[in-house]
Amino acid sequence: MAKGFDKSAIIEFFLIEAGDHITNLNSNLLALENNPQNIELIDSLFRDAHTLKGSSAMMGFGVVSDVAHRAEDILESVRSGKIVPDRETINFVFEVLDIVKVLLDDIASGRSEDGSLRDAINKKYDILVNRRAGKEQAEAEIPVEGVSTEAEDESIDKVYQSLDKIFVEKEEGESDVINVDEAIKEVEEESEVKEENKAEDEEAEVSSAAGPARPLEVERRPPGRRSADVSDIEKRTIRVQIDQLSNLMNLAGELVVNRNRVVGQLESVRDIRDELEKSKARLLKVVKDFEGKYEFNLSPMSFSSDVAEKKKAQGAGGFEGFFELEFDRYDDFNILSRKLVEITNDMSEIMVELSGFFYKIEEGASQISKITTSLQEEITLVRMVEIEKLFQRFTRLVRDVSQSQNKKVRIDFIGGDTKIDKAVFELIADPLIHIIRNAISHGIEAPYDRKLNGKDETGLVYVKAHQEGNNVVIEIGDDGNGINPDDVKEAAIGKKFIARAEKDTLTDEEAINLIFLPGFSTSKEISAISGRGVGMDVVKTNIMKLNGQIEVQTEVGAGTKFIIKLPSTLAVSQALIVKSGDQEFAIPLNLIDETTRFSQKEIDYVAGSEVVNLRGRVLPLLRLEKVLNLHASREKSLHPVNLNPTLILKLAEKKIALMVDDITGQEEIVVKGVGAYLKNLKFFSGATISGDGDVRFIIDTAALVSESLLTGKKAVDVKTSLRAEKKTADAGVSVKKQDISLEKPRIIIVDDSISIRKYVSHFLIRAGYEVEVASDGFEALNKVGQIKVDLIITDLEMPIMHGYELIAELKRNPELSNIPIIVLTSRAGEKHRQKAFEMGAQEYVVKPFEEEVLLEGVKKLLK
Amino acid sequence: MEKKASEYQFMIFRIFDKLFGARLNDTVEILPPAKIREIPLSYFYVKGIMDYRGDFLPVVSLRRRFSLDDPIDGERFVVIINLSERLGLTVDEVMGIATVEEGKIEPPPPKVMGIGSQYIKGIIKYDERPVVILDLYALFTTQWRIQMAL
Repeated sequence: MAKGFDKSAIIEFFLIEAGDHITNLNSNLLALENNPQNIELIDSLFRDAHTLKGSSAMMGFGVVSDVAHRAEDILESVRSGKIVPDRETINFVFEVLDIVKVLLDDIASGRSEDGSLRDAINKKYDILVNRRAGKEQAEAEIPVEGVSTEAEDESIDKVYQSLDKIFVEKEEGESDVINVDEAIKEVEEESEVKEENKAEDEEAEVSSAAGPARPLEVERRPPGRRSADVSDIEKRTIRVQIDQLSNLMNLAGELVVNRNRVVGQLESVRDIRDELEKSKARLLKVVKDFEGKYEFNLSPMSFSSDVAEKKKAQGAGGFEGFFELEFDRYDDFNILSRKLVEITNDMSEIMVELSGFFYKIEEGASQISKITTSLQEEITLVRMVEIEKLFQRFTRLVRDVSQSQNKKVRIDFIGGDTKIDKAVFELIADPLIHIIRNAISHGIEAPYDRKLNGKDETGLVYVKAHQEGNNVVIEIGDDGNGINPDDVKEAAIGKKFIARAEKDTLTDEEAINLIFLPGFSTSKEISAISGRGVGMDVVKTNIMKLNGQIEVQTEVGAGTKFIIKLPSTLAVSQALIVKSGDQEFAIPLNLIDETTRFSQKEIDYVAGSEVVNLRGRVLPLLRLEKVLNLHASREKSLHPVNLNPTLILKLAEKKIALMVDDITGQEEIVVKGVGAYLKNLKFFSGATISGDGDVRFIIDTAALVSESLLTGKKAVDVKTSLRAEKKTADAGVSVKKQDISLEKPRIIIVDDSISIRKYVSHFLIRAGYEVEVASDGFEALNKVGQIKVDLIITDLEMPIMHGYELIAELKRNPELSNIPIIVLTSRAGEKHRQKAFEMGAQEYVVKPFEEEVLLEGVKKLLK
Repeated sequence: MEKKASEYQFMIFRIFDKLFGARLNDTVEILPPAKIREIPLSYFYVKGIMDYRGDFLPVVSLRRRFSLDDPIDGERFVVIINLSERLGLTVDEVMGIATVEEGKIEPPPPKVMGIGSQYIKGIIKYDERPVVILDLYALFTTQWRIQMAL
């Protein structure tokens, strides 16, 4: 093989290739478990192990190569019929795969391989082989190929014994290196002899002994069959970095945006064309009328003779009075008219051409539009992977989890050919793994219990996927014990998520949804697999991040079903464009349940927050302009009978109403992040650029929903709001108690400059204070008399009543004299400072100032 | 422009009647402020984001950042700077580029125009007028970015 190549460039490919082999090995091993006699499977397993060994040796990853070698050896023996692929054998190969995975991860993250893993595997291998050797001798009478049931039973017994031994020895062995090394040597010698004996029978490789010391030796003799390892499919495939695809996707997205823009412009072109055609028709008509009239008057004369005569007359120079003049005039008229007709004809001609041209442009544009759409679709498709690939990861999981829990579980996959965006795919994998783990450890009962309940001993977990419009729906169900709402309630009370008194007021549906609360678990004890309570809320968060929805259906004794709805692609999505104030926002369409209209009259108040009644269901109402603190067109929204467009947003089981000023339309938007500086924007999940280059923010529906829960609580005491929320039949997840300090400190800013007022109040509100403003001392004094104020920030120079006067007035009033005062002024002089302090101000800040300075002062004084 | 090893180049810009400078290496380009979309609920001195060749560029008002007198708009240029990420700063006018020898950069006084010395690299002279050289990295730190996103 080529020497001195740049390894780093190839390592990536090696890792991808190795990953593929491991996936193949895993799935084939699982298949083999159910079908131990399948020669094809064994062959394929062997080839994968061999290639893995070979390529890692070539890359210089000796440990991977050696470890893989062990798997290869075992599989070799299986292939030659020397040993049966029983559980012990298969478990060993699984173990090898796990270790290879660990090693590959090390390589991927740039660490060197851990040599001790090789030793561990070698030792297990030796034990396995020794055991085999012993067994074979003992069972010499029994023909190897005819695996009797008896032998199998026996071998399983042995497996358990040997497994025990393996673990014991492993522990001992780790502290006793010399022994291990010796053992390895011994066994290597043995196996060398053995292998050589039957080398002639095998077309494939031998020389397992070459392993650790001479990894390249194997590669030098590639067995005939494996040259065909590169399948036809691989030859026709090319691997592309996902980044590159994302770039392509972005470009296609840009194209879509530009197409939208062109389509918009075409509308106006079409209008212009129509105008033009109308004008043309009018012009032609007028000229025709004109021509008709003119020709009626001067019918006997031909145009040409007319001109000739006129020229003649002029040439003669004689003026023959009025008639001549009149004639002359007619002549002019005549010529002009003719010119007009000519020009009109020309123009008509041009207009026809132009009109045809417009049609062609339109045709071309619609063609481009079509191509853009399919380009985008194609690129999206490239990013799409079949969900089956994801399912493969679960098979092993189910096997491991059910084995460790001593349960019998079968997993069924339906709709594996459903396609899903690679990005969605990666983000959804972990949530699905969580749900499946839970299904096995919480849902499926132990075999004995299942039998008692008249169920099949083997539990069933199924994952079903299908496309639904632009969404992919994934269903994970089990036929286990279901979720008991009472258990959930008890657990929730135990964890203080709800009060015991509330237990009976929760509906079953609401109770079940408590499982999505952070830190929730019904499991009595924490197992390695589930019960740590970090599961379902993470699942929910992840799904919400993808603009997806999750729903749970359960029946006690019959099973549980989670239904997850996700957009099948992330980059381009359908959104509703809404307007609030003078700003447009995009809201992902798949989270909008419906759009409707409500008038001011229809808004009710429950516990101080606004609600609306949608067909008998009471929903919390949010106003976009209020949530975002925008300046909306007041008079319109406050008019009692005007109907305001309202979106019903649905997130999992939760629905809220969102009132906006206007719904502009539906559009295909290209979703883009707003960059690291602004990635924590509240209420926005990203932004998009409209056809005419305007930036629109994409509303984060999940954040809005949690905001609706908060505002519901801010107003009144937690208990009342809880009851209120229950009334809305919508409590669901919302019942977690939160300590919200009901009263924010209130600060009044007194300054005659509106921009200072605006600026200071802006960052004080940010910092969590309630802010009042006044433009002079007099106004401030009035306000302070009416409402409770915790701190006063005042300018010195102001009309009507200046700062010193204000301070003096405040200090005179015993009720107000204790309010701390910060002077914020542009007077830097020591004299002023001195005077302010003398009069009773606590802080003195000079403009221009830094926010932190003022904030610090505020904090200090409010302590 | 030829540049000696001990020389530094600064872009000089004006905000009101005051001159500021930024290391030329940190600046990318100067743009007229196109459509800047205000970000609801963001900091007062964050003017918004604008479309910058298909990407989003946050734009910050230096007037507002330093609360220099009246923080009302009137800034006519966006200077794109490149720290770890691109960022736009609105300024009133871009004056030019100054090349200054290292020795000619004076250390900052403890506080200039309400701007703490931790944000200032030094003072230079441009056309006989003092120019405050800003330390953009200190001004737009991670801490600050977190504030900005609040």
